[in-house]
Amino acid sequence: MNARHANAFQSAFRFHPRLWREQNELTAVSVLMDAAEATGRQHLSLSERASIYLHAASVWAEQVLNRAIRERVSSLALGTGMAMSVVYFVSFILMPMLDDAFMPMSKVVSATALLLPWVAAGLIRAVGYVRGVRAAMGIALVLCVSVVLLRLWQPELALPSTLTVLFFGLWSVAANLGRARGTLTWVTAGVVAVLGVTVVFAAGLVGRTLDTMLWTHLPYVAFLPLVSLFLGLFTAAACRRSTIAMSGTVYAGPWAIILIAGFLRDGQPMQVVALLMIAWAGVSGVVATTARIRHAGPPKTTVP
Amino acid sequence: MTVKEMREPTFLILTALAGGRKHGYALIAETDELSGHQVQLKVGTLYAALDRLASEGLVAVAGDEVADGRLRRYYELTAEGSAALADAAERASRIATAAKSRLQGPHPAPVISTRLGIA
Repeated sequence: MNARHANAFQSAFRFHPRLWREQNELTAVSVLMDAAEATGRQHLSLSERASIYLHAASVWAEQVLNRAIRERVSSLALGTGMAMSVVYFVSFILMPMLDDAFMPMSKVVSATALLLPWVAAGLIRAVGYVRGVRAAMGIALVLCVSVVLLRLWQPELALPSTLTVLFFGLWSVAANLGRARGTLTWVTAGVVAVLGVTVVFAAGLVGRTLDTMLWTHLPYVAFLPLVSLFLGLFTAAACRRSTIAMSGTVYAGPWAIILIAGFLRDGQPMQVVALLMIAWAGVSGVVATTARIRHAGPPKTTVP
Repeated sequence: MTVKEMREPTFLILTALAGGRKHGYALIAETDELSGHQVQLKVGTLYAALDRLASEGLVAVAGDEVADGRLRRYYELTAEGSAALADAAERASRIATAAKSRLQGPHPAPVISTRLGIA
């Protein structure tokens, strides 16, 4: 093995974070060279290279979304999805049926299918079987994708709206990011359920349908605070202010994206979005230049 | 880490380290030997396993040394790692004993045939 081989092996780690390479690259290359010599090879096999690239991806993922962040996001998403699935089913399916409104069977069945994995996840989490929660969230995601595909295949069928399915799909993905913590999950479910019920009753009080309330009236009340909160958290996370900011950003991201999408879909004036973005860009610039950016410590990575 | 979650590569790595501190390639070679050449760890896989084991406190870095012009990092089992390995070994041993015992005993009647009333 000569320097040329060493350089070639070293290049396999070019996708790892710089800090990781500074701390571990020399020992890692030594292991690769030992392994190559033992098998009489002078170059890396494809599977060896793939395993190194996968490891690089996992190191990056761990840096951006460490375990604490994943657990928080998972708890927030699980709590939100559990509460919202029940609120959705009660307000959009059960209450209209009790009022003798016509409800197509396809919509009842698909809404029930969206609800059940979340209810199951709640029950499973209550008994502390975390792997079961992950399985339930996997099923929830498959069902969301199935509803979207069914909507594309049979456009005339009455099904939950694409935005609804998108919400539940994103929550199920977020809930599967880590191990949901019990207390945070239940507190989130409680808060979201209270907010959801409040919106349902508010819609009834002002004589609007819930859909109209959500996408026509609520944005003026909720759009700016919610999206501002997301952008604020995003800025804080970008400045590495805390893992809580990062957790909030990942959790609030889908909300903000879908709110903006819904806002634009309903033909709301773009000036609001533009003003918000300009304000955010200004604030972010000020924060980024004045804040003392705290770099996280070295990643918890170890290398042979 | 609970005992039931310990996968074979993890079990093999901890077993290799139970014999004393080892560097990366020595771990790859020893897991290969321990598994009867059934488990051949890739370098990336080994790193990922060691990252996880270190974050769980089951292994720790035991120093760097230069040998033959190459920098080698050594690893060792922690007390927690030893306990986890002992639990996993006990469980594996129990299952193996049960399996041998049942294989040596009388074979159960074929269930499907009995249900169909053929036997």
